[in-house]
Amino acid sequence: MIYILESIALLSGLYIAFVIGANDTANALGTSVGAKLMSYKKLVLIFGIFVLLGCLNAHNVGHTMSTIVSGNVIPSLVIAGLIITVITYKKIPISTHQVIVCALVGLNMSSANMELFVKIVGSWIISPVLTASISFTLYKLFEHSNIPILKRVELLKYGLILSGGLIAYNLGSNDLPTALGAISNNTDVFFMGGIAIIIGALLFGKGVSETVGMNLVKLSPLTAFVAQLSAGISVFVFTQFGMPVSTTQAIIGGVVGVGLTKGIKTVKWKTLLNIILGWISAPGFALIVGYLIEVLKYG
Amino acid sequence: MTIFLFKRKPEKEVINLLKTHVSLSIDSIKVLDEYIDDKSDNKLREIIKLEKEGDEIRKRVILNLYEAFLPSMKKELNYSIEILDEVLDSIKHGALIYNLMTFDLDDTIEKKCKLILNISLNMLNSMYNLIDVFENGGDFKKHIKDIKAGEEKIDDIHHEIYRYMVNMKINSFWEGKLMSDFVDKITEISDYIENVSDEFQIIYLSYR
Repeated sequence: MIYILESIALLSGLYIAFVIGANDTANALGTSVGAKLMSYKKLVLIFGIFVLLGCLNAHNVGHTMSTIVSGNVIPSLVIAGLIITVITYKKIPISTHQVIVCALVGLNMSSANMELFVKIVGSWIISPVLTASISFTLYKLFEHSNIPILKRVELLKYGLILSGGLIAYNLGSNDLPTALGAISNNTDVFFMGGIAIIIGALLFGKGVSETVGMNLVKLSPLTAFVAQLSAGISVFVFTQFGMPVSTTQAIIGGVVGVGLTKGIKTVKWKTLLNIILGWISAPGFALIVGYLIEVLKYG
Repeated sequence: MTIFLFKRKPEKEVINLLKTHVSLSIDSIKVLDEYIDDKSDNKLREIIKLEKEGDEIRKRVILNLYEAFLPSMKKELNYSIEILDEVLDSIKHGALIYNLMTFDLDDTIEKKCKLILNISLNMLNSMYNLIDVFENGGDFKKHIKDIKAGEEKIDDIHHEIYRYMVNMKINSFWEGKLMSDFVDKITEISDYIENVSDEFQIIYLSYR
């Protein structure tokens, strides 16, 4: 019986990893796909190597996820999986991290480590702000450098691969242990999840990457690169502290940071507010649904 | 291992071809200037030959664009080479119209036309330097300013020529038509140069 339950938990985690591969690959590959640097399959090969490298450093976030709640995590992961499936189907841009963490805490409110939960929520607030600061600084540096355009284009080509690789690394070291850490903090399990991400990327990631990439690169290749690199650095920093943070939110922070270099008026605050409301409401929804299920279960 | 490396540098090739195209336009303007003086058939042939060479370069740039640059730049570069090619076209058509003139061009108009060609030549030199900034860096703004200033001057001269022409005694319909067409053709060279510089400006700003 225990073996079956463990298998269900593992499958739920791997399913979430697969969805991350289908959905969040765009964060890593979108710009390179949009810039048509090489074929999608070759990009996924590079992406896959970085994801698997990230798996080697997955234990930091994995440890956080394994200590935030104790007890049965299967219902939480199933609910998180369902919510993520629905929001992916509805194409609503929210963070899978937040849904997983909030579903876990909501369903295990009595046993949850609330101090750690507060720290995680704090990191969700700080990470886009940190990314905005990094992208603001990086963009200013680029803007004032005297590198000729031809050199910039060349650097950008390699830079997009590098920053995409960093984001892929973060998928393996942060996103993946967020999905699987509550089940196991074993590197072998993370490698299985890494493979699930790569399969998700190969089977369903291309369309999303093309859409995101075309829009990002069309906007401004330099902005896209700086936003992506800043998000990669920011999430990498949080990973070292074991904090599960969202790359999508970090990238939005990065774009805002670049926008701020041109003055505060360039940022569409209404749009940003809507995005932030989505960041609050989706995990809030997962938290409440999880809590209600727990209340109904135990009266 | 080639998947990790970008084998060629087609970007540099595109930049070099653009520079060559501008050099052809510079040569062609110089020849047209001389052609206005002596109406030599050899010079007309040379202008036509330069236009054909320019057309070949345009095709090579377009083919290279399949491999070169990020997609966001391709649109502007493709458009740029098309307009740049119009410069050589205008010079050739100007020369052909001049060839049809069986009468002597009025001295005042001829002087002003030569002034237009001279300013256009300076604009093309600025255009060459502008493209060089893409490869080697430098003061992009200065060259843009020079091109814009040149175009404004030519606009004024064009207007002055028309003000002069409306008071001229014209002997036949064709005399008037050929003269005004010639003036229009050599004036539009500067419009094309300015349009190309605008496209380069868009590319430059999006990578700043």
